[in-house]
Amino acid sequence: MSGRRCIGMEELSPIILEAVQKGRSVRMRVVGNSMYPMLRSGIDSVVLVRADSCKRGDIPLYRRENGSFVLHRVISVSGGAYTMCGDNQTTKEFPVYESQIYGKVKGFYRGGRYISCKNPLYRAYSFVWTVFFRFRPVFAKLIKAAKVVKKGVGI
Amino acid sequence: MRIREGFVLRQIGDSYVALATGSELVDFDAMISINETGAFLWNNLLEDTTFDELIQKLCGEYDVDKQTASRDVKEFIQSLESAGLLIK
Repeated sequence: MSGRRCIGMEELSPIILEAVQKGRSVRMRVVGNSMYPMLRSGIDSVVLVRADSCKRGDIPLYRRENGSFVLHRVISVSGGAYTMCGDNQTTKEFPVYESQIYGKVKGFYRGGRYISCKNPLYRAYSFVWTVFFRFRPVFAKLIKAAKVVKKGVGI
Repeated sequence: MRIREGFVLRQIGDSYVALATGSELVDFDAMISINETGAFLWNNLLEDTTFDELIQKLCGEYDVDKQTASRDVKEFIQSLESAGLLIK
């Protein structure tokens, strides 16, 4: 009759949009590991607010043309469109327009502890993550190669 | 007992969710979803009522025996209480 059932984003999105446009914040749990290690699927949650515009490092919630909802970081801004990428991903997504954006993360709960996006340590993390974005495929290949070697020599 | 002021029931697809109206934060993390029967009880709890009245109303609305209705109402009341949505 009642419980904490998971309700789909398709159904929640009108409420999210209505709330943030009225100046309220929305807290919701993250599903998926594309923003790992910052956000762990099913454990951590984000607080979204209205996003009139985004800058590099911001994390908006946006909707793709195929209807799916995504929470990824802005890697760069050009010509009124954003390039996005999850912290745990190597593939860029371009273009994402402001009209696709429902809100942006103003802070997040990690293991019950609230961390604001204005927190200096978080800002340093976000800066490093966006600046070193271009080297991420190299790191990913190195890690993959290391795993193959490790398996090969039976460590 | 009755529903605490400042909460509304909002239909989302096949179910309903209780949302705080005055709060600056809409917390989907702490939100409980309610089915149609729960929504019926919720609407009857908007005004002060009793446990027995709810059972009576539930039996009048749905084809359910008193024992099942009593168990369902008890379970629903407990979930509302634990979510802080009920005033006794």
